[in-house]
Amino acid sequence: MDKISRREFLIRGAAMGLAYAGLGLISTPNILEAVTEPAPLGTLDLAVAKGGDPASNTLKAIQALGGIERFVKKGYKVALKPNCLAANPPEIGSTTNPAVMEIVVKMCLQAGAREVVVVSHDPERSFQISGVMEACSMAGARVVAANSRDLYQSVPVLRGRLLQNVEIIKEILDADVFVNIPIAKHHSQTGLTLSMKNLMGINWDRRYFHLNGLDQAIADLSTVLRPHLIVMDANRILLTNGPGGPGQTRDTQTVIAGTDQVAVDAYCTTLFNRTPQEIRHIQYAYELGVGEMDLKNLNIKEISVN
Amino acid sequence: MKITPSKSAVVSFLLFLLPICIILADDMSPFEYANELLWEQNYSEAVSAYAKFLEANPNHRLAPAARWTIANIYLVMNNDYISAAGLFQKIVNGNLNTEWEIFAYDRLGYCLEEQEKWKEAAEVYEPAVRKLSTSRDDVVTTAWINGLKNRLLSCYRTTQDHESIILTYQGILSENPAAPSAPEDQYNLAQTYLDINNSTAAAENFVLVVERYPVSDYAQRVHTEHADVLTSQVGYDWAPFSTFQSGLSLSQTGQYAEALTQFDQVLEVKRNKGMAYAARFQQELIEYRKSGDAVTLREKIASSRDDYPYGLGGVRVDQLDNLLGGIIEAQDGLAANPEDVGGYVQMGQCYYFTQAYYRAIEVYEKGVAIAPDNSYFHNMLGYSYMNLQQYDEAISAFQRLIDIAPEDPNSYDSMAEGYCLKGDTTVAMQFYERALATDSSFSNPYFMLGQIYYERGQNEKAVAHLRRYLEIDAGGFRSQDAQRLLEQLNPPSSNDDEP
Repeated sequence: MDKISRREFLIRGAAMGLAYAGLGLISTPNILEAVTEPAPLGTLDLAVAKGGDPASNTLKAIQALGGIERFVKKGYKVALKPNCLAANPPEIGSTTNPAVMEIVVKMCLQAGAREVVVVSHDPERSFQISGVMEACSMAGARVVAANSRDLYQSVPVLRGRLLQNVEIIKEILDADVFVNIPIAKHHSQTGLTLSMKNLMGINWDRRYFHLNGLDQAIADLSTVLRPHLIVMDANRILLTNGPGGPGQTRDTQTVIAGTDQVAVDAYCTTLFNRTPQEIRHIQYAYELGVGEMDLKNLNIKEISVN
Repeated sequence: MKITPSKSAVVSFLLFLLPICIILADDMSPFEYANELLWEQNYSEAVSAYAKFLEANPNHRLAPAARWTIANIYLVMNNDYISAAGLFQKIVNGNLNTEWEIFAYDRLGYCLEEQEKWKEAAEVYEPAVRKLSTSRDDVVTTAWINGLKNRLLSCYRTTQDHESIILTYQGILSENPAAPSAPEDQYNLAQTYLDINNSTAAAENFVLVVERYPVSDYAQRVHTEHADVLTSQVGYDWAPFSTFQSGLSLSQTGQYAEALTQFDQVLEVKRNKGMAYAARFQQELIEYRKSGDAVTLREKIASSRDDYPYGLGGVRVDQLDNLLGGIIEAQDGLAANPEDVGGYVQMGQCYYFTQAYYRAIEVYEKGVAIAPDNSYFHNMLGYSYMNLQQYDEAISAFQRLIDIAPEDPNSYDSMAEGYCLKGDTTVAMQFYERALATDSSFSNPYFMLGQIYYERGQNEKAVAHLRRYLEIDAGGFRSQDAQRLLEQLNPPSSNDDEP
């Protein structure tokens, strides 16, 4: 009985259309534009694009990292994981900006992807109200609200300290490339929700995580599924009352792209004036050898986008 | 190619760098290589690669992670409990007072249990439970502690070591009688005494369940299953408990003045005994249900823990705190955006689950004012009225729900439930049939119709509906009840008509 009525959706959808205009969905940049010289592969850990609209920041961060072609080859199936936890429009800052999703879908398809599926264990209503469903569908992706257990497959967690098995969305396990596209925001229980926390939405039994130790479970999950690419939407970050919002926001106009989830998350803590060590699941993932959290050891390139 | 002096210098320099690079690569590369092998599900090669990493870097910060992964591969993929146990023991020894130690205790104990070494497993779990129980770290969850504790007790039970079971429960309860698991622990302690035929000690401990945690299911269980033991062994007077239960039921149905009187009576009789604390808290809860003031109740709970030595009488403090937090969060959100439908959903839900039904109704009415066609609000209005036993208002809310969502079988199912509780099962059946006409794969009406037919003695129809329910929803919410009814009906095994 929690489905939103069609009438309400139409009313809210119309309001969202106006919101997108302010957040850059309408003015999608040319994704083939060569704006930044790609870094030599393997030398750059993080590309941080700042100052532009959400789509331009996304484009340039990925290009700086070597371009989407570094990850997506012709004929690949690509799975994208947004954060659509809350049924909020994008200006609240609790869900991945639809402009970010849209441009990544388009880049993957232009790189020759056979199929792009946008998938998450979130209510369909959230996909709709966040604008992610419309943006991704229009761009050519298939959108799946993975809310049925038969869409999941059990996987052993051999490097995990708490988890022994997790059930993960099959669409992601079947994909040739997995791109995690979270939003950076406050979280009442874990301090922040960044890329590793976003992986909770590829997993079926979230209740177990909450009951048995959320931070350790998040870190354990990050050992099982390694995204090929992380595109962190930090265009507007939610500073308080997360993860659902509404709360205080800041327009940092930033997108961070990287392949090391610990590194991406560690960098993002600085946007909130926090340190990686303060966020337990980052510390735990580092202890498990998932990635690097010492920013001094990372090669970070900042790109100004205007 | 002729090497010029300058090229030679470069080559010499590179050769000088090579061993340094190899040393640096020794740190991370073999570990990452092992991870790659693991991702490729090449487990035996992964074990070799992690072992190689450990050989070269026994004190590296990732050494516990490498050891842990090898042990897990032995445990999960090979069922080699002996090798796995050896490695987990090594992790315990080398990482005392870290998370590694506790997690390794957990797996080490499991390996020993799998080898049926119950005594050794108990020796592993004992220090882990002790450390976790005294930990102030909020990362240590109740579920985690309970999981280990239950495995420790299970080892004792397997070896029939009743003395250790009793000592364990006594230790846990004396350490924190306000813990969320305390009612269950107190009950199990009493049950253990009963198992060894010590009826007096059993009765004394069952009394503590009823006195300290009268809100818990365990108190009800003592009343239902062991009342005679309490009466015969310690002459227990059940009257205050009945008054307390009456107060609970009045409070939950919104009859606050009557409920307060019942709790006053309990306070008068029990004074400073366990049940008095519980009654006092129930009075606080009534004030909250009347006012809807989540902030005050939450502050009281946080600041007055010492006033409630046995928790809140069996009320789950963590759950209540979460719900009150949800109300406050929604209030803050709605202050920023009074049109946010989600905020009303959240606030209404939290009031509903804290049984503050009048407050829930207020919130859902506000939701309706903003989103009049939102079926959720009408459905929850109906359920809130049902909980207050105001069935006509509930039925009106469900009628609006049907008008808004006639294609949804839930609408008719809710209406049917309203009529059921009102006592009109004939009309209820009509609505259940309408739910099925809308969606024949909707399971709940089959169970409900089966139950009504059962109560009416129409056994064949009852059997057919209950079987259909189980076909559709074998692991469903009511599947155990359906099975139980079918067993009572003892139906013929085949040739029954489908509904």
